[in-house]
Amino acid sequence: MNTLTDRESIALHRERVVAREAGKIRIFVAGGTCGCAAGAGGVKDALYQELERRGLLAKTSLKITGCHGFCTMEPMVLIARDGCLRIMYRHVRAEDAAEIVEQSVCDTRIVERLVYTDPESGEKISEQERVPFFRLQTRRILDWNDHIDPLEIDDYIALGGYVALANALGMPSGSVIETLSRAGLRGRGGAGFPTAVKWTLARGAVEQNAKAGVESAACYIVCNADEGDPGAYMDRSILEGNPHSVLEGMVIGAHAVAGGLACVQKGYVYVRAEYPMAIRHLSRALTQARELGLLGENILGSGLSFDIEIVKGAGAFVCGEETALLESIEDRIGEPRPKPPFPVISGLWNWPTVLNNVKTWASCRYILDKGAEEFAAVGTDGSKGTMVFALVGKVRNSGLIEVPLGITLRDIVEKIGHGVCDGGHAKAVQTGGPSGGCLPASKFDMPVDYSSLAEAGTIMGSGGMIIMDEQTCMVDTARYFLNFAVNESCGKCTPCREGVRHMHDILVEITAGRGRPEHLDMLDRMGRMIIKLSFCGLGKTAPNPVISTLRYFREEYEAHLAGKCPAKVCTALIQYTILETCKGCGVCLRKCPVGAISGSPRELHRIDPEQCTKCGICRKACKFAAIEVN
Amino acid sequence: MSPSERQPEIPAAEGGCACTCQQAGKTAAGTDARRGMSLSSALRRLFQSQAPTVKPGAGIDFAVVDALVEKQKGKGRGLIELLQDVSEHYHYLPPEALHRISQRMDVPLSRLYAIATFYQDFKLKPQGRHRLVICTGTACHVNGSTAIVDVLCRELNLKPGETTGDGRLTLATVNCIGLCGVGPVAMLDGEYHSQLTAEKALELVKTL
Repeated sequence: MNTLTDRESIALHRERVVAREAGKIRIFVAGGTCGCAAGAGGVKDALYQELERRGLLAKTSLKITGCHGFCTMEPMVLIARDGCLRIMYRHVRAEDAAEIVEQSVCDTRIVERLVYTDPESGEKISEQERVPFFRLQTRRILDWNDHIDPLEIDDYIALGGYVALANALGMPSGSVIETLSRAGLRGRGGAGFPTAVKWTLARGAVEQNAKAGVESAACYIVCNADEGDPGAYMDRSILEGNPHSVLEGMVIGAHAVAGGLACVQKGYVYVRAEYPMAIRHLSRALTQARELGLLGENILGSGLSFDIEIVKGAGAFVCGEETALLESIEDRIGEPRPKPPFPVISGLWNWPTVLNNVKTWASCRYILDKGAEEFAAVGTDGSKGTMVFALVGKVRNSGLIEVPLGITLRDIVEKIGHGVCDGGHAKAVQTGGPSGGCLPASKFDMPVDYSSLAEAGTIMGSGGMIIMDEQTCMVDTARYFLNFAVNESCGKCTPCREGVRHMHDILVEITAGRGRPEHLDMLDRMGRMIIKLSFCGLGKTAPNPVISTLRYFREEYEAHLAGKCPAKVCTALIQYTILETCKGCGVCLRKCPVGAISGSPRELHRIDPEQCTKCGICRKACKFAAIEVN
Repeated sequence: MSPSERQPEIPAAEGGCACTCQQAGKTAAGTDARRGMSLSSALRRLFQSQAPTVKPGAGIDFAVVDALVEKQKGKGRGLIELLQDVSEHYHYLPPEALHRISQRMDVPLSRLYAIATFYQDFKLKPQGRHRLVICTGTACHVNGSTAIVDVLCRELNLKPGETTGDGRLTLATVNCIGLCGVGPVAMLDGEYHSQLTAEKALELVKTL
């Protein structure tokens, strides 16, 4: 590989790559972790064998890409020809490969049975762009995931990768920050701090060090990919599917914060060890970027020297908090540091450090590529651009979506998500993970942006959006999040370590049917106190799930106090019984893991309440809907 | 992960403290050290209470630890990475290995112990030959993963984080594997199983 030595060489390299692939039919198999779990690897192998058998390898380009976002439809295959809309096949199995190649590669026909069917109209929709799930999105960060083999830097460059870096390096550092400021980019990790302000503060600190002639001064650029929020996986997907977009953003950041100043620069990507594929793809991306001269000494002849190292997390949610993350990179336990000084002034090894989320770095790339105006063309006054959400839970179309900020929750849940599974109704949407809150259906018409969510008692967070229906117990959900916070609290400050545990214990009592009326006010009071007194973001937000459910779903708490769980989730408050309609088929009896069901064939069966563990296996297994839960 | 897995119980005090333990902070070992119990004896006793069939620290090859230490030395940072490498090799952190690292890296044992007990990926007990991890992330929880864990715990007579007496299987939970779109999800020996039910989970366990 030839090293790229100046900004113009990016465009030349791109031309070479594009010419190499011109005129080929491109076949993309979605192969993120979820795609692979669904069997994408086998599909790709089968397609390869079929193309080879027909001698089509030279005319086609078969790639396994990252996640396309539509997780419920995995494994997915896209077929793209020049000048045509992309054909999307879903739920593809290896056995379908021959037919796909015969119909859609050798010919331009469509394999009807593998095409997305609109659940309401029954219409078959073969083009990806026309599928409602994709049509209603504004995919800026995620769209390249569809076309890139993440292990090939040339695929990224072919689409226009590293153009943003070339643009940035052609500008003075101050103008890069000014561009971000005009774009109105706010941190996508949750808190929504304006990125340009953060960078300006860091640049100020670096300048001060340079002016003072501090010896061996350093400055660090860090990517927070410690995506610990349960229910959020977009950072994983971006790192798996398009790692270069994040690296490119980080190099732009290095130039903006310390370009032209005397200091050593180094980057770190702190990524969860639970994401092995992301780590693999990222390290390959680093190697290739170094080979091309996009990392290392004198990047593109600009004089900027910068390299990036991967740091694997070791399983601590609190390390998603910026100062705890820095402690962890410094090989200590992840206990947060007091602020101020903020990391931009004194971060890693006490040097100025800029720490941003994966999506923020990827957005920087977009802004420097397309311009601030294009970025800010969508969104609301205070929240510009798009946001990636993980739309999961009891929703029909679950997956990763990228939508303009300001879209309503209803559009997300009903139009993109296509409503709730099994015809139920969405009761609540939970955003922001363990730091966020639950919003009731009455709030579904509010716009999704930083300030509206905060007013409603939740946060944007890193983008988890969990849809809950009538079968989700809100008290149990609050208990679940507090249990999470109890386990993940680092223990440094008392309000979080002890207070959250007390709140959790009260919720356990309530879900066990031992709640007392005064508990509800105690929860609210303690929650507000913990928010005020906790040391770091974890404790300051841990009570949010309780406070928001108390605010919107108080009647569910009251029902629990009266010994009822309306969603029939809390096992201490429910009982399984077999109705008269039982045919005595014996399926439940055979399936019960604890032997709690008895009865003779063709006679009414019976559940022993003493032995029953309320696992629900019998109810799912019964073909006659004869098992009731009360 | 259960708190019991993160902070293994350490028996009551004995003997004098032989090592520097200021950095152990809030960990159980730190508390015990303050009570006057040496960390090394705390670790030793901890390992004596293990599952009987897996001999703790059996067959520790110091060449492996030494090679990993050499790889990390001089890098400036990377102590956690070193523990991750050692843990990957042995599937847990054997006490002998921690002692060796402490000597070779010139790092107090208390600091290694603090790291090993703070981060959930590190296990101080030998792990089973198979590892079944159930995701308890929000999306999986909403879709019923807690009930699945309950069924498995009852069937295997284990708590999450524990290993069967014959060393066959470790049952664990994880906060989120990031496959939220296809939950509930389990991972058996690195292989993902999506849209899990209690029944499927029981079948998985039976195949082992």
